[in-house]
Amino acid sequence: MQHKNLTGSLLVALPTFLATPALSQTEVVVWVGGEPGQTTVYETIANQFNEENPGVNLTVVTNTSDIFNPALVPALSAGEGPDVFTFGTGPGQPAALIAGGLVADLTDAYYEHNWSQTIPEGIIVQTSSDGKLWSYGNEVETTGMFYNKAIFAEHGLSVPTSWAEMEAVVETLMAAGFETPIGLAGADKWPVSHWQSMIFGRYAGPEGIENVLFSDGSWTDEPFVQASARLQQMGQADWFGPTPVAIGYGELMDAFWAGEIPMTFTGPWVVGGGIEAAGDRISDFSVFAVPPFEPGQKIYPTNSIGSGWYIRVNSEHKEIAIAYINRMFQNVEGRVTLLDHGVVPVGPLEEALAMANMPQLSVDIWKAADDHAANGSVPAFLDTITPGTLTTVSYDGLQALLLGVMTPEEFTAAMQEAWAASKAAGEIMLPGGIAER
Amino acid sequence: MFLDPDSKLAQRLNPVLFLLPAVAIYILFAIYPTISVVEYSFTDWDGINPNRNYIGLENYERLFSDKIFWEAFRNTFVWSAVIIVINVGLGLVIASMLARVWKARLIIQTAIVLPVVISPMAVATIWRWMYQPKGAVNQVLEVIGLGAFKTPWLGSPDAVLYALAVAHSWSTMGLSVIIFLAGLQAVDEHLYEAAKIDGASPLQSFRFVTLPALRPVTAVVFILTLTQSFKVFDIVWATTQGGPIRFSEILSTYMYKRGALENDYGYGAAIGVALLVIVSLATIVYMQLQNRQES
Amino acid sequence: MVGRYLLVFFLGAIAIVMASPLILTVFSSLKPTTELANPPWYPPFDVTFEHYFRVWTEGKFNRYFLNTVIISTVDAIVMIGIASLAAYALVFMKYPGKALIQALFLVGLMIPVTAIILPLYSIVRSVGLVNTHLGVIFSDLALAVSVFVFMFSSYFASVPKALHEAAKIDGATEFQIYWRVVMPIAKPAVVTTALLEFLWSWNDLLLRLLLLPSDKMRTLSVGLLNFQGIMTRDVTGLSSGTVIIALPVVLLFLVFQRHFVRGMTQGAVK
Repeated sequence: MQHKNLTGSLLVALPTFLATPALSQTEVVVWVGGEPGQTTVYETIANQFNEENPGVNLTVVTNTSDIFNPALVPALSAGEGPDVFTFGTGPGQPAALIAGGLVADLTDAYYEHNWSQTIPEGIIVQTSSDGKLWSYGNEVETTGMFYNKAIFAEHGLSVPTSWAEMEAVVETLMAAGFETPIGLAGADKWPVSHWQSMIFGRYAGPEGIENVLFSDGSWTDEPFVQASARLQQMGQADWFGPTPVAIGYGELMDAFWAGEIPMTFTGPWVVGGGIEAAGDRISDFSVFAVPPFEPGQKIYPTNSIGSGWYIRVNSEHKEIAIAYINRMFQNVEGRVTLLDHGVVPVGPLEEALAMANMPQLSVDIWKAADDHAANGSVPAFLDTITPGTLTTVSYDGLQALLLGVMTPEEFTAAMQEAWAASKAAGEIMLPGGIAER
Repeated sequence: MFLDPDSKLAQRLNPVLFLLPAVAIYILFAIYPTISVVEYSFTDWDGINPNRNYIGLENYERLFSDKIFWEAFRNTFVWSAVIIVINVGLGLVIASMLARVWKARLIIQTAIVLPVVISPMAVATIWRWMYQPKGAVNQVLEVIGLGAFKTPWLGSPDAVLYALAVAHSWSTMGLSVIIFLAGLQAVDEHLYEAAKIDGASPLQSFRFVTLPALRPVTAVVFILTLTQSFKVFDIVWATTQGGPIRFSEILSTYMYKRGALENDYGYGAAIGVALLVIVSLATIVYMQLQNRQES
Repeated sequence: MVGRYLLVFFLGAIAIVMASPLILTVFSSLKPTTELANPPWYPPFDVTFEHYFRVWTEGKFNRYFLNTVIISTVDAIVMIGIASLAAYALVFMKYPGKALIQALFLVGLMIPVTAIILPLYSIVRSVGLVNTHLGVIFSDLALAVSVFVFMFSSYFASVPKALHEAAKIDGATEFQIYWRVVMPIAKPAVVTTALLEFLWSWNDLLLRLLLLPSDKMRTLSVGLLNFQGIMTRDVTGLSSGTVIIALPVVLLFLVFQRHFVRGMTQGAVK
């Protein structure tokens, strides 16, 4: 009750500050990109915000498709568009927005509202440059190996903890007639990129990845070549089925929930659809961390922010926008609401988790990652933080690896070429971090 | 109308009055933006930053040495050729067959034309599902004894472009059929009767009555199909994003990748201009051929 | 006679191929979620309309529907007017610069919308029409007018020139000839234009997403996007949304089907 009163009094103070023109409502426009079902939670919180703040009307426009950016960018560059919006994070994605001076500097808000207590260092690195904070990295996502416990039990399998055990599991499943032991939707390019992010991280470790992203490391470094070779080798051994590149993600997940595919490597966004598709059988499913690929290798949980919240530079309602961000991520009620919708906010979760009502499968995902949290984490989605050119090259190259028409050396060389070109063109954010005050 | 119709002024003014509404809207909202795009193609604009620099022909020079551009160029031609064969060729055959059938005609016609109304995104969703390795297409092939033709459609470098072209044709052929049917009404029924009396087979009356009479309509359908197919974006983007690798990359998806996703708007604009020029050339060549045939 | 049956059989086969994906879409829109694991060609055993209600209310299709009807209807009607008038001027009138105007319209056939959205947005903004239906309508008209000018021209070209001359000698004004002589002959073109422009406008996504940023102005095609993410999709929402969007256009086509048949039956009766 204590904290509720505290936030309550904070929010009572807000409208007196905002409601200067007493009668007319202040219209604030919010654009959210994301998955169907996950974006609705931001609307829910905005409605609560509106009720708590008479005189303010937040309107949330949800955009779930990848046409989001092409709709957003023209509006922004014309000096219009939403007051607050979500967008990809660094070092690759928002560089153009920042260089174009289209988004507001949030460093003041960071210090004023103690964001440091919620936003971990690793995320600040991706959302800041030149000592300034540009966005509030919102929800955290991790990836893991989803598996069908019922199938595992039926064939006397247990969760593998070494690569030899992993090989044995796959062998048993293939012998039992599962053509595709590990589902991989290669027709959609991004699921392969999730594998890439994980396996690159495993071989290079957090320092290895950061060395490339924020320093002078190269994608052609040995660990990345080895990782690509391992991924290709798994593909050639048909671990992902005979034709992973032909499989669509939606169709794959249908087959997974229907029990036709025993494992697939993916993230928490599938939970809602899974509960709907599997019904009571949802308890058949759980998640494990992919075992180390090589002896002595550590398990690094994958960890990325879905996107960041930005405020338009010439918005007249920056204070309200920040209040809305605080209401979502800095306020326990907001955090519980997010969790209830399967969205995991940044920062310490203990308090909110105790009050939230999360599906078991979502909890399993976090448990699989948490067991290894002490090792440090690696990005879950390299494709959302690298520049567009590198993303294209990676997507095409990963499909080429799976089809066996490209060698790991060629693949990493192509990545490095695109990366170096973006770096030379100044399309990459400078090393992150916020100037101390 | 309120002017004396015989007056010189009315004679002069009439064309202006008739043309003005269409031309004004068209120039403001289509031609002007197009000219802007041509202008952008000479800049290094990233599509976001308020500043941009003129860099002359650099984007076009890049285009010529860009291997992916030429891959997309080739794919676009194959893509359009397949769609034209289906939409114009098969569309014409189906329309003239429909014109000969009375029983169950409305049902058949409705079924053939219906896919036209489905929104492009839904078309993509439907065909993604149809083309899965264990999807409906492969299952049907198996059942009708053509199992040898089964292939992982969206993952096959050899088949993907054709598969998507067929999917696109599925959703657009109905238009051709409609336009052909509308055109068939203008064909004088007496010509068919005369042909029948002369002992012409249905095939012969198709060849000597239907085809010549439909020539102008065929031109409409051809040019429509050609220009529309060059511009297609949704169905490829929503199924394969140009993949696997780049085997279904067409100019419009490539333009989108460069211009919108990679913040290389100037270069994307150059691809757009190239696309425009290519379709224009193709249309002009076709019209020349058509004119020569007529004379 | 055998030939005729063969014909019906062939067409029937094509009709089945063309229609089956739609039938499957209708199936999945009527299935309770528990039946989704069944193969798609299983009809729904326990028919439910809950997805339709969900899409209509939660998916805000009730709001989007009216917006879409307004835009598409205005588009179709205005398009018939401006395209046929322009085509008339291009076919029946003589004046300097005609070839240039013809060529100008031809360019419009080739313009890829995806290429020009950015400058199109700026122009709509500078005339103050962002977030208005009018801005979308003007853009729709501009981007499709070439097709219909082209279509009307080809129909008008088949009108005997003598008919036009005769009317002129009788003292009719150009507008009277257009309205009383030429347009009635071009009825198939009018119907085709109305249907196509309505349909294109009904299904278009990109322009609406771009030019109608506020939710209360948006259309059905944008609404459908809310069931399709990058990573996930809502199959029942998508399929019932697809059916709702398709239904009005299907009805329109059914109504106008008769128009495509009539000409030929008249011929047969004679």
